Amino acid sequence: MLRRDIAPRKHWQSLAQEYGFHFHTIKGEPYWDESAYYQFTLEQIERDIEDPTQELHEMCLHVVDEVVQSPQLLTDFCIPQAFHEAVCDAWQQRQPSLYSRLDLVYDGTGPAKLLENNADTPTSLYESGFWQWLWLEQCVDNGQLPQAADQFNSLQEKLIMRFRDIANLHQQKEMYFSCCQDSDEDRGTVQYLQDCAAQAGLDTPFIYIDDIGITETHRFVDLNDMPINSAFKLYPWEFMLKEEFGEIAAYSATQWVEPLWKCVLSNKALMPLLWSRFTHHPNLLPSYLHKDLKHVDKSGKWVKKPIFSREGANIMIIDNNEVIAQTGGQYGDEGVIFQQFHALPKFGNHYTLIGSWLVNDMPAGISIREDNSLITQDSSRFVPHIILE
Amino acid sequence: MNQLKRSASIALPQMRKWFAVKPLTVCIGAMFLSACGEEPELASIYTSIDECASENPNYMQECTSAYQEAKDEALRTSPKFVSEGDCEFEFGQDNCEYVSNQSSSFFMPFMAGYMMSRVVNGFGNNQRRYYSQPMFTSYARRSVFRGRWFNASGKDFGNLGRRDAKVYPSDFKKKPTVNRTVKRGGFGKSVARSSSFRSFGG
Repeated sequence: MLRRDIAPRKHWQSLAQEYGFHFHTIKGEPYWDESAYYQFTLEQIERDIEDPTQELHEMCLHVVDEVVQSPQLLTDFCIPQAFHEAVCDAWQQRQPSLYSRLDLVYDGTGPAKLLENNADTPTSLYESGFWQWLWLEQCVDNGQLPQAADQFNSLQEKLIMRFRDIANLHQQKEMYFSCCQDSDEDRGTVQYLQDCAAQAGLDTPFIYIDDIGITETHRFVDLNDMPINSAFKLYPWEFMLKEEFGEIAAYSATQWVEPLWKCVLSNKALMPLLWSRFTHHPNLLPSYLHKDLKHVDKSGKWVKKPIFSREGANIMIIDNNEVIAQTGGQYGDEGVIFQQFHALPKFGNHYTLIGSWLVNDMPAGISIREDNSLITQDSSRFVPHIILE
Repeated sequence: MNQLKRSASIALPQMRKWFAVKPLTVCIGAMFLSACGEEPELASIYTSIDECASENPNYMQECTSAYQEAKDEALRTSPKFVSEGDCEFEFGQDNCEYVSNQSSSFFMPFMAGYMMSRVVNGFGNNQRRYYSQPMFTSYARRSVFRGRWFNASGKDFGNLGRRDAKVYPSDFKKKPTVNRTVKRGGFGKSVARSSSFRSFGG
């Protein structure tokens, strides 16, 4: 695993415009950064990332299966009691899922360590599945990279296939797509998924999440009052469950992607449970729920994370009970977990985090984020990668 | 050669956004109609398939499918009630049916008939030779619709004795689903309090 410099493609900004990639620069700071790339061997990709991703995912599902059947564990996961039955039903009906992203710490040697599972609303999908793919194609075409260069990235291919499967399982030719207003990045991610679904032959109307209506018979409807039978939402279940339509959504005839059981899979309380069920697994870090911490030797460095937290918000690094780094944000009302600190590898001045994608149950590629700080946040940069022996 | 670890191909033209201008299908039919203003069409109301077929001997198939479409549409657009009493108060005794499907259960008035018009082609999305919609009536003493034909939007088409009606293109516009009370904005509130974020994904 190497970090190499490379000349950015000329005119890549106008290319981004042409393809509708509008958030490559955020608040004047670069987000997409093609002045460098990471290089892996095929063995590093397959043995150290792809296979562990598969195994970790299966372990996670094993834990989900236990959690959904236990009111006590669902409560530890901060899932309100009113939804326990719906969560369990969604899991036992095997409601189909689309995708997720495991965040891994890996430096080219030794086992990758799982930090968290973004299984409900992962973003940076367009950059991973399409934009870095296009970067490699063009760099090979213009001779900047050798013909033999490959990339661990079958996201787009797999997403299209998966949309076809979900349409069959939902028995629908149409899937609505939804996210919040005022976020170019979320809208871009959803647009990408619409493009993939359209290539799978689906009709893909869009509606903002706060424009969704309900009828008195508790059907969700679009702005023309037409029923929404099948919907992808880039909007976390933990928000939805707290909101006015939450209970209706959980028990409604609308088929959601991601399905409701993803609120267990994406929950950070999963990490302590994984550790307790698969203690000392090489790809896991010791993790504990706050309430179980009294039985644990707290010396050394720990990371405190809210159970519900996104984009690296409200994270605290503690060294022998002293806070040495933290990020702001409004999460953390619901509970926290403690995870043993495991430093991100440093390449030059950059701390590097690997996002390992799954489409349904299949590993489907990686994305790399770099940050100047130990805590990867939404300000971090996206850097492409290649596989080359 | 090893199998590729990346997508074998991506349809680039379909990913391009800049020049992706929507096809110019500015519905010729719609322009034609608005140019002419709203010209009424003659439509008929039938209380059964037999009645329709006996008036239109060569159109048994159309009569049957128009009836079925009206029935489906009635299920979607008719007024709906939680209790039978409320339904009967509006529509009269024994004039309501109980419906239960996977999403809900409710009472709704029986479809009393269906309107069919020999409409020229070109309304809405698909090209069809006729249009139909469910018709209702009320037998309730207090109802303003007592003894009248009316559609799911509550438009009055005259008393029950009449079987022909003048309809305007807008009468055949798609009717909203169910809902006497549609509510919106039940999602999205959590965002206000975390509005400093640029994404709600992760």
